[in-house]
Amino acid sequence: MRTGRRAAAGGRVTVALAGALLIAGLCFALCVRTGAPELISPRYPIHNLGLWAKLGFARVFKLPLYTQRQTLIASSAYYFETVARARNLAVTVLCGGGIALCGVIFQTIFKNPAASPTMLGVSNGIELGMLILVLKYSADVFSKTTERYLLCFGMALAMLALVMFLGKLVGGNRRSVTDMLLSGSILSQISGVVMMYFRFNMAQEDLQTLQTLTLYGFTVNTTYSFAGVSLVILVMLLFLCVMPFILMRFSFDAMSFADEETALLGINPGVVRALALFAVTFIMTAAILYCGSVGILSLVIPHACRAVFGARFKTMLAGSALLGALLLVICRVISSLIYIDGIGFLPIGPIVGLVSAPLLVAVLVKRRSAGYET
Amino acid sequence: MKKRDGNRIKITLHEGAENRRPGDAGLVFGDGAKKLIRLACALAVLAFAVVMLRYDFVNRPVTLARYLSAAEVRFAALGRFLSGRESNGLNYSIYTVIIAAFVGAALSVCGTVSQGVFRNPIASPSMLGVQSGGMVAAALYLIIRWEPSPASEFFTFEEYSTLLDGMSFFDMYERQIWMLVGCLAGAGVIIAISTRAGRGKMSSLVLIISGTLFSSFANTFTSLARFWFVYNDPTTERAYAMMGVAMGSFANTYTLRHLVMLGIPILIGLGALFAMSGRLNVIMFGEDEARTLGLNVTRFRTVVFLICATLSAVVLSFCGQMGFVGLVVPHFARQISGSNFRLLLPVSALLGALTVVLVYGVAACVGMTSSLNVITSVMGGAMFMFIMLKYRRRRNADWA
Repeated sequence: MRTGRRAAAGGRVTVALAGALLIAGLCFALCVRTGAPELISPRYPIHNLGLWAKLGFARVFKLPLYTQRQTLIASSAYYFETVARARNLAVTVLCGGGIALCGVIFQTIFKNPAASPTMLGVSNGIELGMLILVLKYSADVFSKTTERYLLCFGMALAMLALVMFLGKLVGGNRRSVTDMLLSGSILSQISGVVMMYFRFNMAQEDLQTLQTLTLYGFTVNTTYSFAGVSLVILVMLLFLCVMPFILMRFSFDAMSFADEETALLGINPGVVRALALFAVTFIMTAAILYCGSVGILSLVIPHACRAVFGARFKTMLAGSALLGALLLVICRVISSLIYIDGIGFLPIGPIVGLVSAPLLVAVLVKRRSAGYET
Repeated sequence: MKKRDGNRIKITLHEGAENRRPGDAGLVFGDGAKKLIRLACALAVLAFAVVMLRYDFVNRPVTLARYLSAAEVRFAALGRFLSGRESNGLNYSIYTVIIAAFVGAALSVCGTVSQGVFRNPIASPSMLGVQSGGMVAAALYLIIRWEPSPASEFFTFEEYSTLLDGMSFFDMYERQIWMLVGCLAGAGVIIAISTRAGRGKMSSLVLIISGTLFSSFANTFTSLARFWFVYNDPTTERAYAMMGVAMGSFANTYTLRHLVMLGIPILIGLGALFAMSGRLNVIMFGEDEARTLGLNVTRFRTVVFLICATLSAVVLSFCGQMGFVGLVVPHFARQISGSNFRLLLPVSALLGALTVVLVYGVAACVGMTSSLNVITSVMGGAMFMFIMLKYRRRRNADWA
């Protein structure tokens, strides 16, 4: 009993530590992203560090900035850019937390360390939804809010259902997650080729729209800023989706037993699972629509969390949300430092891939010591 | 003599042997020879049919009379081709089909051998990062060395062909050479990483993990490069060149010269792998058993991996990606021949050739010859699901 209480207290401390870490990261990100973007950029080259620093100060303190020849090169008209950056940061935090939560939920309900929304076809479904959107609306996609949510959500749900159905078909009556993962990887390869075929036969404008959509999502870093209302809607939707997890945390704890034992505890595992699948798919849809292809986060973060916070669902939920947000914010900071001529700021998806791949390999190599059974 | 010992071992103790018919695991001479001859005949008939009867039914609707007359013209051209005269373009079709057969054989044998060597039903050179290396090299080539194609400045075929004649070998095949080097470099990187990570040994798990890691890095790079091309080019030439590599086609390989350039390395590689079939049989027992039988497992695995990487690099750099051929065909080949590599390798070569020629024929009939990867991936993926359905339910197969 005492050890349990101590473990709980320890979990609380680590979660608090992670929260502090996230807040520190956020402050750092705010400083960098408002004061000093474009470290590596052809506009303000890296060898001119003095100019870069001056520009940063001018941005933060809204100073007019003059060079030696008294030419105004930057004024205090940075307000809109700053607001857009802050909104992007808020969305990044929300999405990072949401994606990490999704990973934890999937691992819990499938009882498998490799089960994550990306591996089971959700990301591919969302990308297919984006493809259909671009084929249908061309460049108008950015103004079709409801359609893009509905279509991407529908495709993601359909893909997830297909993967689970195929997995079940292959595995016979047993609920074999390995089969689901295998069929998920095959379906993702097929859908990748289909996407490539449509890209191959697309006009250049549509291709640009699709690239922007898949790599950046709607938080394009340069000038485009989405409305504040859409941020509010996002927050409300995420809240609605996350609430069931918080309220039903004990049911999710019980889900780690076999299905029969969960049923003996008076919890219907089917209902819990269906609810979780719906909510997770929705969170993933929102996150990927806003942040681009960052779904791999849902595979990486839960492993790290299990090592740091232990296996209690409640602690892991909080901890993974904090860690996921932190990782995505760091990636956002990195992306805001690099400006490429002709593209703008680097998209966040590839950076997430670069950061999380070594983490994933480290986890895979040290699989036995991570505290769960395969 | 020690190495030859491996060749004399008669395989009787593989898993699932009791499920097979008695003749299945026999030697090449006898029951196996019949199968090989049947497959070869089927391949010849199919290739002949594809050359003579292919017609783009989707884009050029046709009446029966016109279709028959077109076929008749082709038969006349075949006569001229066989007597060594100008054959009105049919020779290109013939070379393409032969190249398709070679490519199919190479891909399928690579798949069979890597599945055997790594004892993993889903191992294939593409999974091990060879393709990613090639794609990175293609992107690098397009960034560094690319010039706008001269084809837009020349209007007639003669002008274009004189231009091509004036080019040196290196100029003409520069992209292919870059991709070849990239594939081999990718394979080298993966071997180096997995050898370091496995502390001198090259275990299959580490190899596959490092392959996946390398491909994710490479995909990041290629997706950024593609993004840059789409935004920065006034024409979409580079972006579409990049995507064309991923789609797989025989549009760049249709002459006798291409046939020689592709065929000789593929034949050498296949010959080398066929010569190793005895040792491949030995390694199927497992690493420790193979070591006890006097086989240097690490070196053998490296050699086989390098040969497979070279073969798939040649295919990738000339014809682009063709997914699932190396993954699906070996399973069917295994069903036909049993698991003795002496019979399995020729069978899978013939079956792979048959598959790719068939895919090419189907693609020619629906007007999709520039995107073969779609057909192979969709059909191959469905077939792989079917195989999984059948095998994983029974759980007593050699695999999985």
